[in-house]
Order: sequence, then structure tokens, then C-alpha cells
Amino acid sequence: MRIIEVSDLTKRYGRLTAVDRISFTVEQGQVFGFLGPNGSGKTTTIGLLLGIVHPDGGTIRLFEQYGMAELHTARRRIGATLETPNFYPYLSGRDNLRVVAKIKEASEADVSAALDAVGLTPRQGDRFSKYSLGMKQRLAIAGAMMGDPELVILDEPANGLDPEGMREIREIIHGLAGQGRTIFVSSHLLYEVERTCTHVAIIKKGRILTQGPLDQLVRGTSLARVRSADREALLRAVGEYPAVVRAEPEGADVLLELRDEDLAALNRFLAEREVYLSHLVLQRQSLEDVFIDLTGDRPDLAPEEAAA
Amino acid sequence: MMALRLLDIEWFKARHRAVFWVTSGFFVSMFLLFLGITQYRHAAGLDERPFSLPRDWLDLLRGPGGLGVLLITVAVVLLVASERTWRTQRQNVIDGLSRGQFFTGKLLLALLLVLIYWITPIVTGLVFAIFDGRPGYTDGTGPLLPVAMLHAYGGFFVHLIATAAQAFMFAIIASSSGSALALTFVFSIAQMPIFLLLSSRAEYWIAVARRAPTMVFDQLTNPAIWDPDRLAQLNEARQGLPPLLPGAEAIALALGYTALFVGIAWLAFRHRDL
Repeated sequence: MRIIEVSDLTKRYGRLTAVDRISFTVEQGQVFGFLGPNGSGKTTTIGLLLGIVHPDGGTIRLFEQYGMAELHTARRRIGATLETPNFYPYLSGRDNLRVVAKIKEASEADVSAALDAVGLTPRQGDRFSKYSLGMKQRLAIAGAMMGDPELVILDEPANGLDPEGMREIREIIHGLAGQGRTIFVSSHLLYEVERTCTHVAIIKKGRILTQGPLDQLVRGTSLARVRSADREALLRAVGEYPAVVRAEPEGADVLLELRDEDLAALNRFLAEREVYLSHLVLQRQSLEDVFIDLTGDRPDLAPEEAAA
Repeated sequence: MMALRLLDIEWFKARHRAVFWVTSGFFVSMFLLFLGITQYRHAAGLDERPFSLPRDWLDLLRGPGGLGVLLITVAVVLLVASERTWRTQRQNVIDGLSRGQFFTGKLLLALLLVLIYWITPIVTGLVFAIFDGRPGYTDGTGPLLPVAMLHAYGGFFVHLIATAAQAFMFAIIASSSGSALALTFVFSIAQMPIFLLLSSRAEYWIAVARRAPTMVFDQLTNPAIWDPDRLAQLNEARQGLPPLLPGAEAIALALGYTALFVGIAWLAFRHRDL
């Protein structure tokens, strides 16, 4: 079942085109990562999906039955957060979820279950304004989970969190995915998306640059680093190898972009041409490599790298 | 059923907010103070007559009742505009309310405030008059609610509704509580000087000035506007000021302005990105 189907969606703010004719689909059960630098149009796209931002063009279809005019009905089957967690600062965490429960016609037991699921039961009586950012993010996810939604949309859920907070959010998302829910998560944190999502779309300046299953995106162009005493002969030989897409000298090595990961066949091919390798290693392309290739931007580092 | 659910949601939010209790509590305390002072002055021999009904109904409106218009403006603006500041209006819609339901919920809250502010002088007046136990506090000079008082309290109700609608409109349009309050008060205060200035230049503007929102709202609690003879006398005495309107026209205009304010607020809310 196609949970989200977007076609040529466009949103302009004056001269700025925030979302530029984007199209994508999200199937049931996917954990769909919506990746892009800050200001690339991720939040605007989610706002359009939820019907709280008016589009200038294109179509949205949710759950294969709700068109643009029925998004308010579709929202009953969606749990979502947008940008920062938005709650009443003067209410406690529990009372904020009570407001959500009243809107979603959920029960007091659902409030307790949601608080439990995100580990906020011990602090449920504290005012929202006293919560740390991590607690606010968890409360937002708890709110999104209320009412048993089929689609959960999370906008930058790990934003501003420390590594421990990110791990907690990741575990919650894995838990939601384990329950069979479809999850649409936007982020500029590649490391988090790579560890969480099954499918990815990369957006920059309002345009989707690529999309597809995560493993296909990162595996689609494998890299091999090779070295030989005769580099010129090596470059000539790899130029004849059918699976090589691109060969670039890099220091003493040559970096090969390959269509497959069969290094034994590559080594055999080169040996047959009397080119003997002193170094041969497969470099699996990460989502970060794909992202840099497509956007030219240096993405945010993984928490461990950032900490270093 | 849906209306009750929306009101329940709004009541839950409002009853946990300090601004609701501070404004309502201040309004009630002003009546208690007014009645207490009246009672004290009589007991101390400073005032001959005690507080009594139906004679003093109008004093309740002219005294602390006048504060109701100011306080309901503050309450409506702070309870409505803060939802935009905190982006909770957007989250409420994301959570499942339609724009229309969110808007209706807020309107119901404003109506609830109107009822609270309207009923406060009636209840406090009755409580003082009936439960004080002193002879003479219900003076027996006529029916407890004479027609003139029904007009005045009916006018007070419409005044509160129109004022709440005006505050509601600015609370929806403005981007913050502060700017909404500023816009509301500037709109209310600036009308008269502008229209009076224009009236001095052309006769036509007098007809406009007497129908300006603030001008219309302020005369609603005056029982004289329902009595043609008294209204004529009153207007003769208003030298240089725009004449008051007859009661029915003033009520109709006030309700028209109410509809206009709510309509503008709805159009602004419906068409903007949340």
C-alpha cells in the first residue's frame, strides 16, 4: 500500500521556491529518511504533507484514498512532529499529552502507555518548560504515537541531542518500526538516517536529488582502492575492465568506482595483463559519500566523530 | 457533541493558565470590593442608602462592570494569540483537529469568557442583595429585573461579545500576544479622535463616527438608547459629539461588527500557513 504519494509538489515563498516539483512515494512499513541540509525544504515538505502549509502546485495522496482536500481526515491516521516540540509550557508533560489525547480521542491509559514508551513516566508531573531538549523530543514522539497512528512523521527528532539522546530516539524509532508502522523521518544527520532508515530521499534547495532503498543507494557505486608498482600500466588495464565506471589516481593509489563488488574477478583480470596489485581493498560507499557526491555539502558528523 | 468536545479541550487548556484566573479573579474581586465599600459606607453612616436591587443594577455595570471590557480583551488575546507563539495551534491541527475545529474551539472559549464576565455582576449583585440579610437590600421598588435593566444587561452581553470578537480577530491576525494587545487597544482608542477630526471637516463623517465600533459598543449598556425621548434629550446634550444610536440599531451594528471581526479572523486563519 502506498502510504504517501507525492507528485510535482511545489511551494514558493515570494521569489524563493522552497519545494520545487518534488515527487516520491513511501510504501507501507518503510522507514523513509528524508535527508537534506538545513533549509533544503524538508520541514516545508512535511508541512505540505500534513496540510498545514498550502501548496502552489502538485498533488499529495495519503493512504491511497485521501487527496489534497481530505488531508485533515488523513491526519487522524498520522502522528507527527514538526520542527521543535510544540507544547504548552505551563502544562506538565502528562497534561500536554492529555490535550493530545482529547484531540485524538485517546484514553488516559493511552497517555500512560505513551509516557512509558518514551521513558517519561518518572517526570510526567514536571512542567514542559522544565524539560531538557531530549525530554521534549521524547514527549513529542509520545504525542505522535498516541491514537495508534499508521504513519509516524518525525521532523529532525535527533536535532540538538547528545549521543545518548540520539541513541534513545533511534531505539524509539526502531521500536515503532518493529510495530509495523510506516515512518517518515527527516534529518540532516546522515549517520542517524543510515542507522535507522530502510529508504532514503535526498533533497537540496527544494529538489529531490536521489531516492530509493538505502542499501541500493550506498551499494550502487562501490569503490575499490588499488595499488601497483607500475601505476601507468594499472591505469591502462583498469580502463579495459568492463565493471569500472571511473578510475582516479589518488596519491600512490588508484580509486576505482565499480559496478559490482567482485574484487577477485578484478584481481584476476589485472593479473592476466601482468599487473600485480600490492594493495586491494573494497571501500563501501557510505550515505555520507552519496550525499557529498550529490550535494557538494559536508554533512553533520556522526556523534562519535563530533565528540572527537 | 463536537462543540462540547472542542470546548472541553479549550477549557482544559484555559483552566490551567494563570491569565484566566488572574483576569477573572480580578474582575470578581472588583465587584466584591465595590459592594464591600458600598456596604461599609452605609454601615459607617457615610451613605444613606445601602446597596439594593433593582435600584443599583446599573451601578454595578457603570462601576466595576466597565473593567470587564478591558479584562476580557486581555484574556481573549492572551489565551488565543499564545497558541501561535507556542506553535501549539499548528500542533493541535497536526494532531487531528481541522482548522475549522481549532477556530471553533477558540470561539467557544471566547464565548465562555463572555458568559463568565456577563454573569459575574449578576451573581455578585444577587448574592449581596439576597444573602446579606439586612432589610432594605432588596428594596421592593419594582420587579427584580426591570425592563431597563434587561436592556442594559442585554447590551452588556452584546458589548462583551463584540469586544471579545474584536480581540479575537487581532489575536488571530497578529504574530504575538503583545502585538495583538497593542493592535486591539490602538484600534479601540484611535477611532474617536480620528472620526472627530474628520467630522469637523465634513458632515458626512458624523454619520460614520456614530457608527464606529468603539462608539457603538460603548453605548450598549446605556438604557436611555431604548427610550426615544431620553435618547433625544441625551443627544441634544452631546454638543460636538456624534449622537447616540437607537438601541435596536446599536445592537444590530454591534452584532454586525462581531460577525465581521470573526469573518476576517477566519479568512486570515484559513488561508495562512500554520
